[in-house]
Amino acid sequence: MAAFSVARSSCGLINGLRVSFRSLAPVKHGAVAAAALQTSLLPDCRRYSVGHLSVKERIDMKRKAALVGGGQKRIDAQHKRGKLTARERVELLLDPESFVESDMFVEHRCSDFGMEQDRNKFPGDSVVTGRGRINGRLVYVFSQDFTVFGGSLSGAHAQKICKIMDQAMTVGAPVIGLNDSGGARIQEGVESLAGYADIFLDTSYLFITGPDVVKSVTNEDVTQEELGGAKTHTTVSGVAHHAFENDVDALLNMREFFNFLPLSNQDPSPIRACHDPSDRLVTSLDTIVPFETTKAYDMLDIIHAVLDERDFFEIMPSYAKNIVVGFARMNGRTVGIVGNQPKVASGCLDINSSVKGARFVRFCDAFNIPIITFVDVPGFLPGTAQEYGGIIRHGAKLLYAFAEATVPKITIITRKAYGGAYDVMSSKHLRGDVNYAWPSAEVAVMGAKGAVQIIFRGKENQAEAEAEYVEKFANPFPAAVRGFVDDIIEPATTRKKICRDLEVLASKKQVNPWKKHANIPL
Amino acid sequence: MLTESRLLDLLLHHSIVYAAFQSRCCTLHCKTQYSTIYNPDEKVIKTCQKMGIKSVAVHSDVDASAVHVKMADEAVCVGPAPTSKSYLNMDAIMDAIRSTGAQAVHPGYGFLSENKEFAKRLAAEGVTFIGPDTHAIMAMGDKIESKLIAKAAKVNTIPGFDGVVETADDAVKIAQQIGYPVMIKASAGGGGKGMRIAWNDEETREGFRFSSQEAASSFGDDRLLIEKYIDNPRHIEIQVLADKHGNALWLNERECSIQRRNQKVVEEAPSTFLDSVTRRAMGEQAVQLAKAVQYSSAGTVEFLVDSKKNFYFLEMNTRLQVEHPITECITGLDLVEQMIRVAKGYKLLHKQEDIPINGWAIESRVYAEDPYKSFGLPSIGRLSQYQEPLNLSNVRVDSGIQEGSDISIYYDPMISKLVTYGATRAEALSKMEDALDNYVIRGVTHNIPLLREIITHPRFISGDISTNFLPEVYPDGFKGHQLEVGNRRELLASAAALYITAQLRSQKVLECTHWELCAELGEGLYSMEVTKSGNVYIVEVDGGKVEVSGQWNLASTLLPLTINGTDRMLQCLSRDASGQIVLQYLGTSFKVRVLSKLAAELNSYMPEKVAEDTSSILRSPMPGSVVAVSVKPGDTVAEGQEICVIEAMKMQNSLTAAKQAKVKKVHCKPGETVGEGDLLVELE
Repeated sequence: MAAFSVARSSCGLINGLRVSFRSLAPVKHGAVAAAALQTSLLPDCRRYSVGHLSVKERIDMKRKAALVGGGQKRIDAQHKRGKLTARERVELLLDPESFVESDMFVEHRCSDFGMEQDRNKFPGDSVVTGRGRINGRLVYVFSQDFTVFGGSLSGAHAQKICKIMDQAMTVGAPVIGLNDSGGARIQEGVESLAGYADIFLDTSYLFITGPDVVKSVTNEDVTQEELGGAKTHTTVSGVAHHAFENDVDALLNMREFFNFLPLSNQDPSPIRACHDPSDRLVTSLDTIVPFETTKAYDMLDIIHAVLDERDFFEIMPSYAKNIVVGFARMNGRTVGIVGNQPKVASGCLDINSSVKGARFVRFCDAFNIPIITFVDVPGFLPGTAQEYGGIIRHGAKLLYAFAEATVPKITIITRKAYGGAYDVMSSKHLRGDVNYAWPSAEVAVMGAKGAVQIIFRGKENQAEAEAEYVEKFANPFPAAVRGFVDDIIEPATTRKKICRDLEVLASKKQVNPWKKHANIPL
Repeated sequence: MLTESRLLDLLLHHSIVYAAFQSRCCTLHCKTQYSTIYNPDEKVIKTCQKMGIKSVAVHSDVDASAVHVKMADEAVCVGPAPTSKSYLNMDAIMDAIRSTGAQAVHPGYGFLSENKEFAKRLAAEGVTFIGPDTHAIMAMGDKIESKLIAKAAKVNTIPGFDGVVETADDAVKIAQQIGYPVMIKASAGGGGKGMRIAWNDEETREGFRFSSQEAASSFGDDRLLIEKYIDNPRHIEIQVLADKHGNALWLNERECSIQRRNQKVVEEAPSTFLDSVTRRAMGEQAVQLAKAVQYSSAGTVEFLVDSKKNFYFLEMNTRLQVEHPITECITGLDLVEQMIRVAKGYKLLHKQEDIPINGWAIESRVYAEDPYKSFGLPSIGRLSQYQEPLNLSNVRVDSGIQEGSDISIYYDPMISKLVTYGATRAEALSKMEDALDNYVIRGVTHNIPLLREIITHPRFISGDISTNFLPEVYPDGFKGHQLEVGNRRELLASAAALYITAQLRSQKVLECTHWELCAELGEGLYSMEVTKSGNVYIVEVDGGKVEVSGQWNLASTLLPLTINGTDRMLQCLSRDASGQIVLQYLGTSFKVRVLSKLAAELNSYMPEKVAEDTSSILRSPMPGSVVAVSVKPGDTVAEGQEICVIEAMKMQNSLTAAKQAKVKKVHCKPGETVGEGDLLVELE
């Protein structure tokens, strides 16, 4: 479009063209409106004038047009909404000057409803695609352009995305998708980087059907924010894995997150120079587990203290908070962390936390990232809501994920490891490579009180029996004598032990029996 | 000394030591020329060990892994966390004494250290109380009686009412007779608890109510007294030491004027204010008083000193005080050792002319509290990282905590006493600056920003201080270090250098040496150009050039940098992917957001976060428990009207309405425990 209007005003001399092109450049975004007017008045002008431009000039003009997407007005509107444009996002996400764009000249091929008209064609269509680098590591990117038809998915748009995905496959590089589209099909059609979606707080919404459709079908009144806002998807639905303050925060964090991950399942995770001694003793852990077994503490305190530089990239921090998952490094190497959170619902496993944990464990296993599991779990959450919801089925997902995983698995039991939930949490029985217990660990079928109430139902001397049960089971010995834990370790030595074990386990090779695909209980 | 300690060993085979405050029973020992560093606050236990005496620590169940418990030869749990059930539980403590066969008790600093009942019960069982005799505790522990005795002993006293105040109306009547302002204080109290200043009748009534409640909860005794409040005074106290043979010494003064809410924050010895004549006069009166009550052991006579060097007796503390280490530093005496000797009946070893003033010692009380709220409201939490500045010479830290300790709502929020020593005051102060910069505390809010501002303030340095120092110097409340241009440049340059170091570590290929960055600090936006040459970052910012170099260990909490040739100790409190870097610089923590030029440009499009309207909601400014809720939904409250009362660390805090409004919803009820920032009441 821009090319058209420029050409129109400079028929004739090459020199004149150059001059006028330059002078027009600052107002090029106004081209859409101007062009529409000219099309109706001078139907023959386009062919005529374009014919007078060299190929090179046409290329330049198309490129210029592609760079402004839907035009300055729409870019301004996007900024007003607190959002960045597709190109700005790509620029911020990638290393400076590393972006190599592809398919800048692709235009949609729709011919209905007047879409074939020139004013409805935008070079590059509603998505920017290409490759670039993040901290020097190759990545393919697509970024949907809301300024062009609301970022909606056209055939051309989809084709562009598929093309870079295919290229990424051939070279073994990841794809990051920056979604900003009104089209509903996009969520189904596109997988972003390994399935991790980012949502920007307050400016982003994600739903299958919008509030208007919901109202007409179910008569439910709901706002966009309630239905598919960042808060909904990060706290209630678990669709999004992280929410950030805004575009800039999200993209900078994306760069950080990318640093943890391998480029593909064939590639090792990057190793970062580690300034934190791998044999550092963490004395604060010696006192972290309270004496009363019913008292809560924050598992994140343990996790932060053990990791390199207290640097923890938590995934889904606001969803199913009774389990903590995220990425970190031990002695510079990426690890996945799974931990029960005694601070929330006593750290019990329920449907949501099981699914959250299972998905994370499978992600780690898929990308050869070792898993470190911190266990303090009183059991599965009882009750009809959980049973009717299928806790057995969902709990089995976590069990299955841990059992199936062939990456190095290190488990630390910090306190409670009761019943079936103990088994699930990367126990020795699920092929845990190294299983440690702290002196405060209690591996048992259930808590002393509950056990005694069942064993000695209706009998007296329950307090005495409870004391006996505590004496027998509320300590790490029963598990240690059976070899269910490999060692009882001083909490302060946890970091040192894990780092050493990871070195040994780096060469771990384990192959599951052949199958077409595993059959996780979905 | 050797034979003597053996003897003591035989006679006092066991000594019970028990905890006081968060920072448990402790003293420290300091030779005048150098500091022997004891970590941490187990001075009493250390001294016992030195003298060959075995020690038993008593503790509440939450303190089971506290440092003093680990250090002692034996430990006995005397009950659950609330002090009334543990450290104030005499039955449990007496049981502990019997079961361990202890022959003497050192009572630490607080709790039962000045409790006459406890001293009596010990005497009845033939257990030595390491402290003065019961009659002295009784005489001095009661502020009304102590004042009468002081008067009789020809010690200068403050005009006031020498009797117990019965009701709020009485209080008002008496206050009017004395003339405003008046001070209302608990007869049994100390340490600023149960103490209020009133400038009019209404405040007198309110003060009466609060003080009697606090007195009841802290000391189990709600009797109050009222006296003339001396405006703008200094608080200077004399350390005395007396034996059971009628000998008494004064061990010079401690200047304790820097206070907030009548609690000491920074102390020093000697005082810049006293001349030798006044010092001697105060010392002699203090000794007169000690002799008048046949005092034995170490004690402190507190005086208020006005601008004309008139001094008035305030009270006598019959225990070892928190700030005693600075006296030890300048006199070279180990007060705990002297207390034990005296308790055993030995005569004092020294004469008055043997007591020197050698050098200068400063003590900062490091508290777990937020100095930005009323110069310090308690904060709680777990010390996720904790590192005392013991790498420095002439620095000693007495604390009862360690990395991983919990600061709970049950005790005073003191983390440690940080003492520095120097041949001159300037030397001691400069050492204190270094010590505060090197002190790593993470997990709880602490008052190091305030401490560092105090000790570097021109008024403090010149010695121009009074007990009103803080409100006078910071009339609008403490706001942290105010950066002038040069310091701001240093801070920004440090942040930029740190940012680049972290970026470079992640980068695989790019070997960049020039960066254009942008930093947000407070309201300001600063663009920076950074060039790296070798290990040095040259940062152009804000019209100046700053050279920053350092070791750049990204895992370290301390960040030792050389900035334009000057060594500076910064601390990196946090650093995240969105460029947010929190640095502790000159004691205060500053949030700097460093972004690439591009990111900063794009960031200007981002919507601003809407701040919460704080006038219509009342949040708890600190963790604690709700004592009273004075409103219910539908009530209309006036601006400044009390809405509820929160008790934390034994202090009652009245929370008031920020505007006139109708109460929409009440989210708390009496007896409930609330966390910092919890929503208490919503207004319309």
